[in-house]
Amino acid sequence: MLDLYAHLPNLLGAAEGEGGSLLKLLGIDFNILIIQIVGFLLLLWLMTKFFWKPLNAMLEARRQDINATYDKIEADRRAMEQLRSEYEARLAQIEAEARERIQQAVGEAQQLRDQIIADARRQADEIVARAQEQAKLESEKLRSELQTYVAELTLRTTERLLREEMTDERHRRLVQEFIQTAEVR
Amino acid sequence: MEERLNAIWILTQTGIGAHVPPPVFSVLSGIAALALLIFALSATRNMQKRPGRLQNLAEIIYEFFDNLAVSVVGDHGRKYVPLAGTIFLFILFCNLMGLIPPGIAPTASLNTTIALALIVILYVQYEGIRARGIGGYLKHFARWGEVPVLLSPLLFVIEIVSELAKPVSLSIRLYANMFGKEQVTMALITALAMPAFKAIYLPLPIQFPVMLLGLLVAFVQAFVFSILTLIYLALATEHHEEHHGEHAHAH
Amino acid sequence: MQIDVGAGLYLMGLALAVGLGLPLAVIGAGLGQGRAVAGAMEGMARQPEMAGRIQTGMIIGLAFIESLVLFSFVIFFLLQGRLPTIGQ
Repeated sequence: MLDLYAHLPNLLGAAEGEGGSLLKLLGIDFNILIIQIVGFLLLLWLMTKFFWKPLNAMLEARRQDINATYDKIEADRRAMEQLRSEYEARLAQIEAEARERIQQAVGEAQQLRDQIIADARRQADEIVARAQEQAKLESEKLRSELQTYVAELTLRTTERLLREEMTDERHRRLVQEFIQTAEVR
Repeated sequence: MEERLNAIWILTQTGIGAHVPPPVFSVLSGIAALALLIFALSATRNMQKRPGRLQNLAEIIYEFFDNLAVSVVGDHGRKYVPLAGTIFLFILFCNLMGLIPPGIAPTASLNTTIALALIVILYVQYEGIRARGIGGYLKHFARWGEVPVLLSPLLFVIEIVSELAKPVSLSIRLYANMFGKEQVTMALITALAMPAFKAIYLPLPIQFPVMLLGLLVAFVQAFVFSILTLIYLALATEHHEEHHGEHAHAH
Repeated sequence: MQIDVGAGLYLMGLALAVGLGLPLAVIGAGLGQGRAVAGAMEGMARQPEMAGRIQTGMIIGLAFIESLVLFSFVIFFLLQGRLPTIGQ
């Protein structure tokens, strides 16, 4: 029979230089294995404490920050919108008020104008009336003066006539003149 | 020192991962953890509402895992963000250590990856029990009420096996990716130093494309580990909501 | 140095397994990943708005397929460690 297995320990020994097992061949050492396990668990603990947790907190804080910022922006925008509509309303009100006031002023001005015109007209009428009256007085005065003058003239003429000799022709002419003068009046 | 049987000797001869004593890995993963902590502390020290560069990066990482956890697990997934995120960052830092000299990634050791996978899978069981109670937790394994009663014991065994396979596949996927990448890098570095090439030794950086690939793998594997963590958590805790759904449906 | 027939056969099988196991796994996984990526790309082209989720799913799927290769990679290393040196 072929004695295959008789060589096996020998061959394994050739690989490792000593009597080896599968674990030895693969380089597995339980002490090292346990050291590695403990070491990794330590690393995991430290990393969780100093890396993952702070990062999580940081990102969470930033997420909340962003949310808060967006909320604030939204609120600000809404407030601004409200302010704008308020201002717009106020502006419209002011405009309406101004228009009303202008209207009022215009009305007042119109009234004032009418009043002034009326006053002016009245004064003008008054002046005209006074002037007319004055003219009438003047003419009446003139007329009375004229009458006085005519009367005086007539008197003087008569005096002269009486003083002078009256001729027929002259008499006639005088009468004529008188008549003419009277006609002129 | 004898010669090996075939050319694969280069891998074992030069493969650092195969010969590095395990304590070195735990020291290196301690360094990775310290680097991660320094990053974390400097990113979250005096945080401001208007973030600086480092804080911005940290916030991007947080938001990324927050979205991932919520989209994979659901609304109650937020509390798994620290676990999934720390796993991602730690594995990423470890993986990237494989790209800087001396080129040893702590994740290229099964000790590291099994430790991570065990933590994840035990936490998943804990969360499963907490979400459903012991009875519901066991029922979930047996698919009670979802399949014929006679099939349940069989499914129970299958589910147990597949649950046990989870940490194995999680740890070996990460380990083998990083280990394989390192092996290939080292093989390419030393390929030009092989006895056959000694006469025309050219120090060309032919491992560089593999290191670029390694950079991609570093990110992808870290992401895969952490998203699988979330998926397992989702699978373990999802029944809670399903139950509510059925309840509502029945009425 | 004396090698019996059994040990010779054993070593031959071991060498073949070391050499061929990983490439076989790679072929299968390569085909599988090709299909997965093709499907995911098609999905992304049809529904670009779902690209993110499809991509995540694709990466997970690729990781699962890839882990099969990696299992065989580990096995490869275990077997390769058993290859003896000439001196033995």
